[in-house]
Order: sequence, then C-alpha cells, then structure tokens
Amino acid sequence: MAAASMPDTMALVRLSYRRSNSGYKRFVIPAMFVIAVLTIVPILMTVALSMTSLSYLNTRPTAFIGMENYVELFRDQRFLNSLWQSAILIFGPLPFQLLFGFFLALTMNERLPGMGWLRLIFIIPMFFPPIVMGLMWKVMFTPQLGGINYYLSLIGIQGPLWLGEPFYALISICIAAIWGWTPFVAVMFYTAMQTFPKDLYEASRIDGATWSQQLRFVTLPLLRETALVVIVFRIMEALAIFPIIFVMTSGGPAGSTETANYYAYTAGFQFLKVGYASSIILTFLAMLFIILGPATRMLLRKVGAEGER
Amino acid sequence: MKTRSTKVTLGLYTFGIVWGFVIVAPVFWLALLSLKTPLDAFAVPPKLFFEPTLDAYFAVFGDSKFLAAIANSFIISVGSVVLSLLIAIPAAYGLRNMRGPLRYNSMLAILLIRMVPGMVYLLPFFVLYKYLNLLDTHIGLIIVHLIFNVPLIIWMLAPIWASIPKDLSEASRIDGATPLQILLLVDLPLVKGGILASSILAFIFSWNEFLFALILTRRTVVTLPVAIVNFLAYEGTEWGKISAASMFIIVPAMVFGFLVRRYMIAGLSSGAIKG
Amino acid sequence: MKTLSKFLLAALAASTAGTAYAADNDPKRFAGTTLDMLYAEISFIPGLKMLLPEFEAKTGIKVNIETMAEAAAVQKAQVEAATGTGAYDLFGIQSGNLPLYAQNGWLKPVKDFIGDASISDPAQLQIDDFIPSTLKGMAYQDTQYCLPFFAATTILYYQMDKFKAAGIESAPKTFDELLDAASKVNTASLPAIAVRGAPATTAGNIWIFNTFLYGSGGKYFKDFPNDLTPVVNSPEAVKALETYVKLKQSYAPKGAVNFTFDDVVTAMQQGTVAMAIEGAPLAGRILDPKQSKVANNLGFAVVPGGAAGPKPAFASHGLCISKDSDNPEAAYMFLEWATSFDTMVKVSQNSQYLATPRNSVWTNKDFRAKYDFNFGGGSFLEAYQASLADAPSDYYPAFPAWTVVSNRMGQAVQAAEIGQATPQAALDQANADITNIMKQEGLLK
Repeated sequence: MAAASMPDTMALVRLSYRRSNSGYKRFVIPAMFVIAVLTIVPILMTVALSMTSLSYLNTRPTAFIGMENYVELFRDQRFLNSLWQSAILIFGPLPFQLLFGFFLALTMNERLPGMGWLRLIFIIPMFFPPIVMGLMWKVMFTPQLGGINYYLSLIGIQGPLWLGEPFYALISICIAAIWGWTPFVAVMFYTAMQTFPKDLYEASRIDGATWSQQLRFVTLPLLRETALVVIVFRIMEALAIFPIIFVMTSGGPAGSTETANYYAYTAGFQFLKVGYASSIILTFLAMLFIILGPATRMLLRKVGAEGER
Repeated sequence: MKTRSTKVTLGLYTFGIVWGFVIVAPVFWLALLSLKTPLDAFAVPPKLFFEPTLDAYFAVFGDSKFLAAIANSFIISVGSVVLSLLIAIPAAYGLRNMRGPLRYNSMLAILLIRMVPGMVYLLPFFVLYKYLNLLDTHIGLIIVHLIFNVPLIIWMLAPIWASIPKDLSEASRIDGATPLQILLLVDLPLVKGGILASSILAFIFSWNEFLFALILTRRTVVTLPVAIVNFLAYEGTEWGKISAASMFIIVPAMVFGFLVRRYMIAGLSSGAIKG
Repeated sequence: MKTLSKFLLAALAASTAGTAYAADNDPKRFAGTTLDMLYAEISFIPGLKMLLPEFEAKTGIKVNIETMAEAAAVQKAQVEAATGTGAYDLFGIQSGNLPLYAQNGWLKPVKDFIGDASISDPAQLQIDDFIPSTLKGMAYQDTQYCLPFFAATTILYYQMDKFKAAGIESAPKTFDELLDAASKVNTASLPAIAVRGAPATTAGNIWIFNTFLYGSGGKYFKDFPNDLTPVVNSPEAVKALETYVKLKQSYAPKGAVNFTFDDVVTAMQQGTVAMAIEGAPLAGRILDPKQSKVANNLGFAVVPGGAAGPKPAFASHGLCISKDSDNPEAAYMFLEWATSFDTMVKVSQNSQYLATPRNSVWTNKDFRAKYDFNFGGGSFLEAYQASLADAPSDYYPAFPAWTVVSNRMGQAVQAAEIGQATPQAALDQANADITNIMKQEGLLK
C-alpha cells in the first residue's frame, strides 16, 4: 500500500510544482536562454579545442588528440606550480580579510566622533578598479618609486625586495588583495550586525557578560551564515586578482606568482598553444567546481529554504 | 547597567584609525606621484615636499584616446547594467514565485556560471565575434558583460524579493491581476532599493572589467582599464601619467561611491545577508 | 668612387622608374584608401606618426597607426593574424617573431611587390642600402617578408668619471674584466650595473642573457636547425649564467630582477648606476638633455665577451603586410615610403629615433650631427656600428616555438638570479622542460 502510494504523492507534488510554476516560467526563460547561449556555446568550443593539438608554433596539421593535453598537464611542472600558487593567492588573503573585516565591522558599528568619515574611507577600495590597485601597489613596492622600504628603514627595518623574491612577491599580491577586498567583507559583516536583535546583547549584558564573551557567544554565532556567504563570494571573486598580477609581476619572478588562469592566458595568447591552453583553463575550472561545489550547495539551500516562505 | 569598557572602544577606535591610514597612504602616495616631475619621482629618499606640476594631468586630459576611453567605459557600463536589468528582473521575479527542483536547479546553474573564470570564454568569444563582426564594438562588450551581471543581479534580487511580504501580490492575484501586472505594479516598487543596489554593483563590475576589454577591443572602444595599461610602455613608462590617469578613474568612482553608499550597503545587507 | 657610382645607378633607376610611373599610374590611384597598422610604440613610430599627413598629401591614403604596450601589441597582433580578422593591413614585427608569422602564412611577402613598377620605386626602396643583417632578420627561409625600420643591438654605457675615480683605464672587453670593473666601481650608494631582468621573455632578460650565453660559447640547440636537441645546460651555458648571476646579485641595484628596459634607461639617465648594458637605440633617451643627469659623462663600448668573443644582441623590427589586408598594394606603398631614406632622416630629426637600418642614414650629415655623441669616451655611432657588425643575425633562433623556449629560459635565468636554484640546477631543469616543449610541438622525436 505505502509503496504504491509513494509515487502517487511524488507525482502530485510534481504536478503542483508544475502548475504553480507554469505562469512564471516565461519570466525566467529569456534570462536562462541568454545565459545558456553566452556561456554554454563558448564552453563547448573550449572543450572541443582542448581535445585538439591546435598550436600555431608548428606546421603539423591540427588533429583530434582526445585527452592527451590533459595527460600532458599533469607532467607539466609549470601547471602544477600554477595550481599551488592559485591556491595561495585565492586562500591566502581570505583569513586576513575575514579577521580585519570583522574588526572593521565592529569599529564601524561604534558610535564615535569622526566615525562617519572613517566609514567613508573604509569603503574607498571598493571603487578601485583592480588594474589601478595593481599599479598603485606596484609603485609602492618598487624600490625606486615607492616609499615602503624607505620608511621601513627609518624605523630600523631592512625591507625585503618585495617583487623580487618569490615569497615576497606572493605576499605583495596578497597585501594588495587584503587592502582591496577587506572593505567588502567589513561592509557585509557590518550590515549583518545592523540586523542583530538588540535585546540579545541587552540580556547578555545584564547577565554580566564581558565584551569578549558577548563577542564569542552572541556576535560570532549570529555571523556564521554571513561568514559563509562572504567566503563563497570572496573565493568566487578571487580570480579578480588577474589584473593585479598582470601589472604587478606578470607572473614572475621565475613564474612564482603565476596562477592557473594566468598560465592559460600566457599559453593561449602569448604562445598560441590554443589546445593546450584550453585544457589548462578547463582543468582549473573543474577544480574550482569541486572545491566550491559543497559551499555553493549550502548557500543555495539557505536561499532555497527562504524562497518557500 | 554596566557600560562597555572604554578599553575596548579605544582599541577599536585605534584599529579603525590605523586601517584608515593603511587605506589612504598608498592612494596619497599615488596622488603625490601624479604631481611629480620624472626626476622627483625617482628621487632617493622619496620627496614628500616638492614643486608640484600639473603636467601629467594636462597630458592625460589632452590625450583624446584617454577621453574616448572614459566615454567608452561609461557607455558600456550603463548599457550592460540596463540590459542586464531588463533580463534579470523578470527572472528574479519568476524564480521568487517558483517552487521545487526547477527553482533550485536554476539558481544553482546561475551561481555556477558566475564562478567560471573569464579565461574560459575569452578565445571562443574572440572567434565568434569575428564572424558576427562584434569585435571592437560597444554592443559586443555589453553582451559579454551580461555573463557576469545577469547572474549577479538575479542573485542579489531573488532573496530581496523573498523578504517582502507576499500578501499584496496574493491579493492582487485573487483580484485577477496577471503575473506581469503584479510584477510591474505591485512588486517592482517594493524592490526598487534592491534594484538600485544591484545596479550599482553591476556598474562597478563593468567599469572595472579588464580581461575581455583587453582582448575584444582594438581602437574604437578601448575602455579605461585598458587605456591605463597602454600608458605602461609608451616610449618608457611614464609613472606621472599613469598615476594621473589613475586619479582620473578613482576620483569619480569614489565620488560616485560616496553618493550611493547608502543604497549599496542596504543592497548588500538585504541581498546577501538575508539571503 | 663606389658611392658615387651607386648614386648614379640609383638616379638612373629613379628616372626610368619615374617615366614608367607617369605613364602607368599616378601615386594617387589608391586615394581614399584607409590603412590600419598595429605595433608597440618603440622609437620611430611616434616620429612616423607626425609625418603621416605628408604621405596622405602625396598619395591620398590615410594611415592609422595604433600603438599599445609592447606585450599587449604582440599578443593582439598574433591573435588577429591567427584568426584572420583582417582588421589590420600592416603589422610591426620584430625579427624573433617573424618565423611564427611566416610559417603560418599570415603575411604577404614584400618580395611580391618589389619590382612592380606601378607601386614600387627602386630609388625610394634602395634595397641594397639596408644593413644586410637587418634585411635578413626580416626574411624567413630566403623569402623577404618585411622591410626593416629599426636595427637594435646592445652596447655598454658607462659613467667615465666613476671609472676614472676607480682607476679603470678602459671599458671592459671580457666578462672577467666586466666583473672586475664592477667590483671596483660598486659602492653602497652607487650599484655598478643595471641590466634588464624582466619579463622572462624575448624582450626581457633573454635579450641580455644571450650575450653572456653566446659570448661564453654556449647555445640553445645542438645544431640549429638540423638537430633541435636542447643543450642549454652545457658547461659553457652554466658558466655564462654563473657570470650573469654574480653580476646581478653583487653589483646591480635592488630589485633588478624586475627591471624592464625602462628601469635600466631611467637608472642610467639618473646616474644611479655606473654602467648599463642596454639597447643602443635607447641612447637618444638616456642622453635626452631634458631628463639626463649624465649627458656629458657617458662612454660607449661594445659589450664584453667571453671565450667566443663579444656577442651583442641583435633584432630588427620591420613593417609587414597582413595576408588579410584588403589593400596590399596601398599597404606596400606606405611601407616602402615609411622605410625610405627620406622618411628615416626626417624621423631621426623630429624624434629620438636613431636605430636606422639604412647605411645611407648612418652617413647622413644631419643624423651624425644629432647623434654622434662623443664625450671623450669614444664615438657613440662607432660603438653602435661596431656592435651591429659583431651581433649575430641569428641572435634568436628562427622558429615559431622560440617564444615558449625563451620564456622558459627566461624563468630559469630569473630563478638562478634570485637564488631559487643554482645555475646548474636551473639550467638542467630548463633543458628538460625545453626538450619537452620541443616534443610537444613535434620538433623533436
């Protein structure tokens, strides 16, 4: 009995979805159509290219070579390095952006003299094109132009060759990314804090909780969901550092700041190894999906649940 | 009632001021550089006091290519925002009223597409645009920007829409209004704040976009970020001009930002937080 | 005597061609045509732009020259050519990049137009007047694809008073002397030498490093083009890199691994280094009286060499016609005019252009008056010409995959320079990777 009625209920549910959705589908279809045409066609082209030997560096006729480019990738030390460097540049700035962003949000939440101005200053980087950010930090870190090392020397610190050593070049780009995108995190946290129920703080204060206890037991738990959103958004947008790498280091020195998408750019547009470049970027894309997939689904479930209201 | 310890307040205040300094210092440095002669720019130790010159600004302002780039960036950003809104608003409205796996899968697809690095599309778009004669055209770049801006706007609007009460639209529906009428007459006025906020973010994305502009333009629709890069190797890197040009981009963007910050913060809060 | 007869011959050719012209076609037969050209803004291009109205008045052809940052221009031109958009009638191309274009058939060779009396004027063309190596740099497998407008090589610039104060008699001629001189003039406030370190490509550190590699007797391939087995980790190559690394680590300014040609020029101009090995064509900027602090204090010399003698860098840049051009004849007319003696002399006077590939310009009175710098440390033009004579015309092996090979090699040089790997280890790894690159392109079994 139960086994027989189950499909019926499912069918009923589906039917009810279909009926309630039917009037609204035509609102969604144009957008879906546009997005599909604009993305699926190029992605399929890239997939097709990635299985060919298309390269303008030789006179061989272009051939279908199946997965050969992908096999080659995992023997290519430069690609493996670029994956590792992508990970550093995507995840490296993140904890700092979260930490600083959090304290910045707390500061923005205070009512203090001059806070209006400070809030304005805090969001300045949100309006900076990444290319200008990159140029600005290149100026700062270039010994002949920027003052960083000069002023460090005044307080007795011998500054490193920021863009001249792999480790510090990565740090330099991370610093630019922290400077550029911490404000976004701060604004997200700040706006979330505006919605927190005041009585919770009131109650905890009456209970004699200290500031750090309030932070730990009230603020942080309430911020957990926002933090998830922020993390997913930041990772998604982390590749926006491409222009920063482009102007600050061009992937150097010795390829030490080359991310996978930068390598794909070099291989495709500088070397004209089109097939190979396509396989680089698609592999990178697959890895991004694997990493971001679970987080995305979590994010979606949250939105999905609210949509049922 | 205990007042919060002043130590904490003081600490946060100090942190805020330090961070404000961290943000302003490099911008200030760039501004100084834009006022220096090439000789002063390379002076060691760096000069804080020097005779300022506006040469770089005159040079940049007198460069018709750069002025054209400002116009191009503006046309493309506005065009892409308007077109994105036309496509995304109905979609967000539809998705808000839909239920079940179709809605879930649509939202997932849109989000996944937002994640794809631009590099994936770059070469195919170049080839396609060649055949469609869309290389180096405003509309070409506007269309490409839809890839980023349509999902962005849908994703910001869907939760905002979810947060407004359904009673009004329910009532109108019972009175016999069609979904389109409900969208235009009932719902749209309620979400206009969210629309404004998502437009601002989409505008900023378009305004800052670099990779597609670099590859898909030639001479007529060069945008600001690309125009700046072209200053990099003209007969030697002219840092004065580059920093002056940067100021040209930043200052209007910041003024714009200050004007719209309230909406943006409101949009971010309702869009991403409540979502 | 010889020049006179040459002149007479040219005059004769001009007069006959002139009659053919008048009868056959008038120069305005392409009036109303618009030509588009793309290149990086290297010297010559700005001066050429100023002369475009002259060409338009003469022929009625309008020319748009679009310039971008060098790397961007090279990439853009490649992509446009590869996909056959036909957006540009003319490309600027440097010799190292020509094989890519030639092999893929992206160009209409100029040889197809030379001798066509309706568009080509032998008196204007004077093809024998070009320095042979520059012409050869614009040819691929014996086909003349483009005509050169720029002859690039490197020379050693040095501040004479700094050398004198350090007790150095003359410019270093060998790598050992170079290291020795560097150790003598180097002080904490004045690093001895600036050379490019970035980007890790043809236009970057490889442009300088090959001087060390070839000078020490090293090479890229066992026997180019017959045996393409890479040999970049030979003992000679390792020694070359050791010299280079020593020089840059001990005697170069901070951050020199990121120096582009522009940083080197600025350093020399400002006198913040004692020496520089940099492009001779950049002397115009280095000595620009408006910006230079060292104008009257510079000496010029051929770059030092090793066991194999001095090997200054060499590249020629030329103008080429796209195979997708709608107006190849008009494009050729422009190209021939732009690379003519008259145009080059004018450009040398209206801008800082001095890298001319034409012998006749080198001997031109106005040209010499403007550019034959001599501050007591030898003549600049002599050093330049001696360098061009020494410079190997195959400074960059002529095959399309060179961009990838030079990029990989450039990274190895950087890795050694920043101490990430020893010269031996860096080159071993590079050799393995280059072998792999060659295999991937089917150039090596």
